[in-house]
Amino acid sequence: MSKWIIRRRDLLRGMGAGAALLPLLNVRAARGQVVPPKRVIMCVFPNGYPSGQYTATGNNGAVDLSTATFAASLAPLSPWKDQLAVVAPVKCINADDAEDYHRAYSMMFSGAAPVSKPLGPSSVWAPTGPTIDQVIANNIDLREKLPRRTLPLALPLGEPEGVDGTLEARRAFWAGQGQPITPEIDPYKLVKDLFVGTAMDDVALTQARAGRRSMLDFLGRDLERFSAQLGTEDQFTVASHLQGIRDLELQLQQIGTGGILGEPPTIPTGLNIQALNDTPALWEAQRQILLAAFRAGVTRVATMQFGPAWGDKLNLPWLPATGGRVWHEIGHGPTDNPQGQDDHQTVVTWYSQQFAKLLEGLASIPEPGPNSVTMLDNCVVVWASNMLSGDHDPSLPWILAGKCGGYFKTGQYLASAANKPVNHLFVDLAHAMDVPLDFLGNPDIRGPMPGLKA
Amino acid sequence: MPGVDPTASALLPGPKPLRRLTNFELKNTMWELLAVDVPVPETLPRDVLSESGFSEGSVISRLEAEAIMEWTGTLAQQGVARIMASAPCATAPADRALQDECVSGFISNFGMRAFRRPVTAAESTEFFSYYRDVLRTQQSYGFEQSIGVLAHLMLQSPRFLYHAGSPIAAMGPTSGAVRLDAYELASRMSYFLSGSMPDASLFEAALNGRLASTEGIQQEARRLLSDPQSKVQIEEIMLQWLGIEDLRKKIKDARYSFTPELGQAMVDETRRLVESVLDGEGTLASLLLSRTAYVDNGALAALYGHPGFTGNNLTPLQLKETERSGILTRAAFLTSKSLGSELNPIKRGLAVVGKLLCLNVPPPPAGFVPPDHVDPGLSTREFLKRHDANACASACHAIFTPAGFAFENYDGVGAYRTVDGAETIDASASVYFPDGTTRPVVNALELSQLLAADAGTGDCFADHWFRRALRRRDIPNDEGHRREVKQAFRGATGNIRELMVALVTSTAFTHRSLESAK
Repeated sequence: MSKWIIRRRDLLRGMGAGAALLPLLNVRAARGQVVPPKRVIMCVFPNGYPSGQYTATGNNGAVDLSTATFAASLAPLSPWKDQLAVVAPVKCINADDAEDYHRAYSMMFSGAAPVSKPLGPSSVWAPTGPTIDQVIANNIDLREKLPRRTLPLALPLGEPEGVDGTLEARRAFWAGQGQPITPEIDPYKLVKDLFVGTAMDDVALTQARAGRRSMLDFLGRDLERFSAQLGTEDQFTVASHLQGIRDLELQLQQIGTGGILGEPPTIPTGLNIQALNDTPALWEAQRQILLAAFRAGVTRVATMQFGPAWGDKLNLPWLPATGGRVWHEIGHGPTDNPQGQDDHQTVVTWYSQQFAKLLEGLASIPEPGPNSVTMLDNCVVVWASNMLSGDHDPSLPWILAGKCGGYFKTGQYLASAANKPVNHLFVDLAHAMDVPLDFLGNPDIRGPMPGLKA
Repeated sequence: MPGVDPTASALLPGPKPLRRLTNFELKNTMWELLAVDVPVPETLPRDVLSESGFSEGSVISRLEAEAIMEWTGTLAQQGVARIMASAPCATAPADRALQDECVSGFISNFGMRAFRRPVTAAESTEFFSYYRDVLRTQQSYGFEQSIGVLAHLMLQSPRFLYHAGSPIAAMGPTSGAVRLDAYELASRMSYFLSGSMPDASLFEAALNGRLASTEGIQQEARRLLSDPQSKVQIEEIMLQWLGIEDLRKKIKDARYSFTPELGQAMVDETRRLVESVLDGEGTLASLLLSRTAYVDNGALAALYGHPGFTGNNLTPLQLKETERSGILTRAAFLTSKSLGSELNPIKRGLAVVGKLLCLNVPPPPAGFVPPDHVDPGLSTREFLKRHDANACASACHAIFTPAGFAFENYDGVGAYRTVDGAETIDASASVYFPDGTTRPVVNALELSQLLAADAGTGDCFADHWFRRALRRRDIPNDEGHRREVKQAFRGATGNIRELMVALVTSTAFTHRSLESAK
């Protein structure tokens, strides 16, 4: 094993993650029975809910969702109430000084302070630490080698221009300061990478793989030497590159000789990753890939970006009722547009339908275990937006779905979470995934969110 | 190895942050290096907007690393002829020692160009031992193929992919400023002036110490700027400066019959405008005033009031004096700076105020809600007047909306019009200038003339290009350097190439602070 892999672990230090990232005891061995693995999916869509629609009736503390009624844009989730923990809007306190919560997009999964930047019309915010998906994935990587640490997915994000042109507006998940994770959109490439074997014979394949491996090894060491001559800020840039090389090497090591990991999903031909009209079909393809990847053990952590921080270059042609208007304008709702509320509701209802479809997919895969019947029981899906409503309400509506092996108390609206820092949810997510963590991003905010654990 | 320069340290140049080559620079560099003209693959994400206000390559993570690995592998095969030309021997010498010598020669020659500086002894040893490994483990590889693998590896090296400096001693100084070594300076000049790696003459100038003096830098800069390649680079910078988008993907209301082809023609026309300005006076003023257009698209010619025009983009078309004047009145700018909802004055006004007047617009107040829909019964001006009656909106819009009203003669795709809804267009506006004056204009033509005549516009333009040259945002210490550059730009009566010469000779460009370094 090459030296620089250890070096990467060094890099993880001092990134704002509390508690040593140590492997837990092997749960499987301890209990002497088969325990299906736990998995986490983190999804983000921009611009929140139509005003007043992210609610469930009730007073302080937990509200039983079974007796609650969802507003229109959450209605598609009604059949899944017993699997949901709807968390009352929480705060991304490190984005509170930003102009608005569009900037929470790059900040809200890390809880870390922003990189210092001047404010202005094009100012953006980036986190100084890793996002929770990365922290969880790195911990899993220490105890279990999987082909992919994470599977970062996205739908088309629109042209990289204007406010949506910056990395901070296009990347919700970060390996650390200056290290945004580029999500993958192309389902054909994903299928090829993750599932499909190669036509090469064994000898040629072995040789090609050896060549690729030694190249990656050299590049890793080369990047380390290069990084040693740089200042701290520049080292972050190279750390991202190094992590990328390391992830490629990991995949190469873990994929079997035939390159086939599991049954690949069937993707319809002719999808265009540039065409906004293909968005629903692209998402369906990615949903299938995600489910197949989980089933095949490719990874335990997936992320999904349904849009960038604003949606200024995105319209939604597959929802003709929105009349071709761009997502950001729609998000601002009815203020200057009598139809605005309806448009926003149309869009978010569609998002909620996709959330329901994802849950449906997870629940369709049997996965018997001490705490589970289907894969959904061993998962937690985070369904997050960067603001409560598209009018820049500065709080975060996050819904959790799935019990994650019995960790979460679902079927509740957690009213007591209102205005508490989102950082507490990171601790819950980590603990649910058997990752020891006291805090993430801000050492002054420790411990889980009261009321979320079963 | 450069030492701390006390004189320059007192002048406080800023840091030189590590940037990777943009996709545009990668493509150009591959052409220089391998003589292969291939687009950057779709799998490599598009460049993104950086804090300088201009594009930079996306940070390399897994996806980029993989895309680069595959792309450079293909290029190393396609460019094998040029790659082998860097080897001192055409075929493998039978003698092992001679073969090793040839490979070492290749590493020095190819590395010198790929890394844009001489390969260090340590680097050479590393690459050579990799070559040995390839020979040992890949028995089926011939000599040429092994050299190809080396080239593939070097094209993925951070020394190729990033605008890196020369190695700094680990125990070297940690504060003060250093002059960039000649090769680093040559690269910085070349990528700013030409968008690509240094050519043979510039490498030679670096080697012979000709970049040690301001005169030497000026001479090389003017030489590079006389090359057609620099015009393409200047076009790129201009489009990014004004935020002109890739209009093939612009979303427009159905009533405009806007097509990707028309969008492309608009951007092409603005590129040709920049080119024709550079071929002529080469000044910012002529960019703001020129009425010459080169159009090869019937729909665009019709939009400019010349239906039936059948010329090509080699034939100049004189646009109507009463309708057009320079880059701000061309379709590409006007279409880019419009919202889907056709509230055009806001974006157009913001662009003029931000990119030509450099006025600071305060961020919108808390609870701010931008308007997002035009009531079909109201003209845009009337709608915005009502919106501005909102106290919190009026403070911001007082600065930038008036400049946008001057463009009311142009609709959402830049076609000239005299009525909006039921009302006759009123394009008059009172535009706030940074010197504190408010100046009345009757329309965008007059605004363009005012901007062209005002020295403050040139200062603002120079500030933006300063950020582009240094590829970072401003720091307070830049102030003195920026003043010098602006002075030079004024002295050169707004000549854009001379601005670029002034930029590359600035201490802010030729030096960097060590604070950000180890």
